[in-house]
Amino acid sequence: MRVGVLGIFLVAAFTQFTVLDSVRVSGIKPDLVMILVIFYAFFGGQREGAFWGFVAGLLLDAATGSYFGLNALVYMVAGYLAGVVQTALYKDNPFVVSLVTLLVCLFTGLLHYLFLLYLGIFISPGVALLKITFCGAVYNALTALLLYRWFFRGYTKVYR
Amino acid sequence: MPRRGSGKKFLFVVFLILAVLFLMKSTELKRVQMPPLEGAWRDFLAPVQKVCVRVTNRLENILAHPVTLLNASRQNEQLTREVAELKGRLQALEECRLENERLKKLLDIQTKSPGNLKVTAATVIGRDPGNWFKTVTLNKGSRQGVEVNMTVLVPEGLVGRVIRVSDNTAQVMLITDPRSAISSLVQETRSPGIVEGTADTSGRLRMIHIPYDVFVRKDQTVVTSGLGSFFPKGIVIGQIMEVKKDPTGLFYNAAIQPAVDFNRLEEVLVVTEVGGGPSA
Repeated sequence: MRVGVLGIFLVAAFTQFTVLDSVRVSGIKPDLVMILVIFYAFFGGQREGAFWGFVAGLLLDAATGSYFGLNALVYMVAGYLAGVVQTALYKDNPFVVSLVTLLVCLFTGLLHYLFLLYLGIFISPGVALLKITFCGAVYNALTALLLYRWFFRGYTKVYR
Repeated sequence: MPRRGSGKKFLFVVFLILAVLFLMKSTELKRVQMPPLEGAWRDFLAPVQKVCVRVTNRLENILAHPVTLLNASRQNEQLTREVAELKGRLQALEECRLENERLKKLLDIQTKSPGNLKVTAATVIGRDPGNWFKTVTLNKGSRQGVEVNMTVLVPEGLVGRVIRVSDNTAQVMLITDPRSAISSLVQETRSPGIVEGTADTSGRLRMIHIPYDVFVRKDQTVVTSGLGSFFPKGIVIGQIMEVKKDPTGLFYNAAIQPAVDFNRLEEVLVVTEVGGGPSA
């Protein structure tokens, strides 16, 4: 089963590298891999979320080739956080998942920014936090809202 | 002795021939006026003819309808297929035409470049997955002679530089990437400065450390200076959109609109040699 999930993450990463650039809005594109990590964490819990977050992040790191581990850490935290909050929430409500996606993306955006500062890459806080993090998080939340039903149906079909 | 009956027949035949000859003569095209008898006959026949023709047509239509339908359906199917095929061909041709235009422009760079640049064309096959960095992946690598730090450009201006190569691919850091810094000049005033990527979603760049002694203004062009960097001199970077004083008061800072539309990069040129020597 895990090979299947890995395959899904590979396809998502490939889409992220190629097709998703064409759906940029004001220079921001949705993070399909992040959304999938949050979805999996929402069903599998914090351990599963952190695991798939780490694996998905590693896939992206391997493809980008720079700062190996940066994405792995950020996506792992995203998976963990989504896994932690899911226990108290309704899983069949896409709005709840969308809100969780928004919050998790805001937090991980901030984390990403701090890691970049640590690596000596300075981006103006206005651009980093408002344009990239906030706008990116909103776009991810909206995309999650659109995709969740489809994921929910697929997941429940396979696992139950 | 000839029989009486056959004489009558002969006369009848002669009469018939003469009558037909007369009829032929009298109905030749030159005549304008229709004889009254013929006119009356035609007038009488007209409505009958009309009804007959209408009924015949109707019958023909009814009988031929299934066949016509079948033919029309077949024809429709065939035409739909043809339209789809032609549409596909048209699109392919349009794509070829656009590609041809782009490649022509790329070739112009090589022929018109002052620095005697040797270039190799490459296609963009991937982009950075996130929103933080601005990189693209090209379909050419070390096997095709691409090396790290080679300059990448398009007819409109500078794209970036190669930061990583594999056998068949190269990763290019765009000038909009926050890690990018390029030694540059304002073309009109020759004021030097450093153009940095900002990661701003608007795609704008920032030129810093512009000396305070020469006034720079909007719409001036910024080019590479060729000093202490990987980029050959004189490649267009963009245009100044806004000029501000540096907080220290010693320099100007300027917002630059890149000459290249990075969202629509498809083919690029990698500069492999500058003036006879390798670019990197």
